[in-house]
Amino acid sequence: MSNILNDIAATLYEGNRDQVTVLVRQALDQGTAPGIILNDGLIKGMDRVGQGFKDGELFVPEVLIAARAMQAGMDVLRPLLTESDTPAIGKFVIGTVKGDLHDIGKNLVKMMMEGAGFEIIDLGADVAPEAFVAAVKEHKAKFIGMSALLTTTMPQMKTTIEALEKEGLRSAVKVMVGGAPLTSAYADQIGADAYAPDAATAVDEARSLLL
Amino acid sequence: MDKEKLKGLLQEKKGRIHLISPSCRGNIPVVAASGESLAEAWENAMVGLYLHGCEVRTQYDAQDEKGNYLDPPSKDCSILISIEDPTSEPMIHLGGIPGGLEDLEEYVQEVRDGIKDHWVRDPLDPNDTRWQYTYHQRLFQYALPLSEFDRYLGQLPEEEKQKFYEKETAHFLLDHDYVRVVEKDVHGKKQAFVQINQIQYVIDKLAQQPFTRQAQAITWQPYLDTDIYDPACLQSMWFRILDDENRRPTLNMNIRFRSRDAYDASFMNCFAFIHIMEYVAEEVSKKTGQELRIGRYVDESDSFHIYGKRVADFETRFLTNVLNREFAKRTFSRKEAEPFFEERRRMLLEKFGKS
Repeated sequence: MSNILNDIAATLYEGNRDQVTVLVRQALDQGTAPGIILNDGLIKGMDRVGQGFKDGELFVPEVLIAARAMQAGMDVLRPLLTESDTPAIGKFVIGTVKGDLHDIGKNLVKMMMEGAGFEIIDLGADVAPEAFVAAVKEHKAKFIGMSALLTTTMPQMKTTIEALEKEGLRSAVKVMVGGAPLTSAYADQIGADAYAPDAATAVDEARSLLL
Repeated sequence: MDKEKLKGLLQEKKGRIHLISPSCRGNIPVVAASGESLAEAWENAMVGLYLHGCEVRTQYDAQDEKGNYLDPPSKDCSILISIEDPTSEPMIHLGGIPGGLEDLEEYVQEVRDGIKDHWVRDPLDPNDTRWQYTYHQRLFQYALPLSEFDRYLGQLPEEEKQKFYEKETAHFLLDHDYVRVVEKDVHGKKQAFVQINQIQYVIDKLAQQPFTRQAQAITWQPYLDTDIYDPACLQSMWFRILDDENRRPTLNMNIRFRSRDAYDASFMNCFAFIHIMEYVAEEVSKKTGQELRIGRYVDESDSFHIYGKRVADFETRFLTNVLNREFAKRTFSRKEAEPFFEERRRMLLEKFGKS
């Protein structure tokens, strides 16, 4: 990887949004292809952030600060990216389940997924099963990520999976679940494809489901 | 964790973390922690809890189908955290926020300004799964059904009321500016409720009688909270004014929690309550025409705990950072966080129409 791409990744890890923007512009001026800057600079940097989080080096706010730096770099690149530059990872519908208004964890997963190159369709909080189903249909999404912070709202995940089955969409979409009261066993019990205890693991799980 | 390193850490924080009463003979340990800033005091509290806390099971620990626990036990203690200069920097500890810096701003607005009060459920709708309360609602709009007694007293002519005032035999609830009557539709019948703005009461009381020991606000509603799944953890806020050595009035604040998620919630709680402290000081200053300084903030929790499923993260992330990273690198000032706060303010303005 060239020096400037390394610098972009390192600056992104530090969360220096302004400097990431400067470096991305510099790389473009040097003739580096936008797709290379995205994959070998920004996404590499977010991968390091994800690893740093898993290793316990970073606190949650630092991951989000880095994700903002990633967004700033993307704002420069986006108009220049062609379809072939963009990693065809897939569309990821995300939301907090019906009856649950907590969205901090969901937002963290959203930022990390974006950083990993997924296209996110964020339905927000208090999302009804029908809204998840409609979004999967509309966007031809490959993933659904559902979050719940309450034991009283967790069952909505199962209801949503049943709604997908009813619409014949279950096999077309990978279902991921997470949230404070959840366990891997619960995810299995409701028929989810993956459980992620934190945002960095969510990215790993989504990537492994693609294989 | 490396025990030697932890011993060294305790030595380094000597004088700031105290085990008041150990865990033995069925007693919950009692810990005291202090610091000049919020970030310092909160970090010391977390270290004190980890090193001196006892291991306790909670109803939230995951179990397998045979009833075996999958999570380790929680770490728990009773604690008193004292912050000498609560608005001094660095205020923000990155280890205390389960989201982004911008979420701190949203939480302050939730607790101080009530931007999410409309997320409180309708108790008459069994399908409504929204929140059971917000702290803002309990503190600023503490609700009770209006009694016939208060309604009767409220309607008395002034000369009649005067007799009661003289003898101090009755309290005219409806005569206070911080009390308002609202009517709600209950199964087709109008029911009147009183909403008590306890923080306004605190401001009025402190402005009238700075030495008062009665300036407090509570959240607990026994007729509701003994029968709900997740009742309010914050119990009370108490305020008192004392003069400093230069005769400048200084606001002191005490908080009490019955139960506290130390790792994932307590920092954000403290951050928001210090903003309420600032609000009270500003409002009292306006009323009295004299600047009310911010004094020390004391935060007590009966059960201050790290949930079992979070202990491993606490060890690998929080303690590792405390042991290996400079204090300045694990904290933020409000000024440094301001661009994040400002961004969220704009978003909240769009979403809730106020900020």
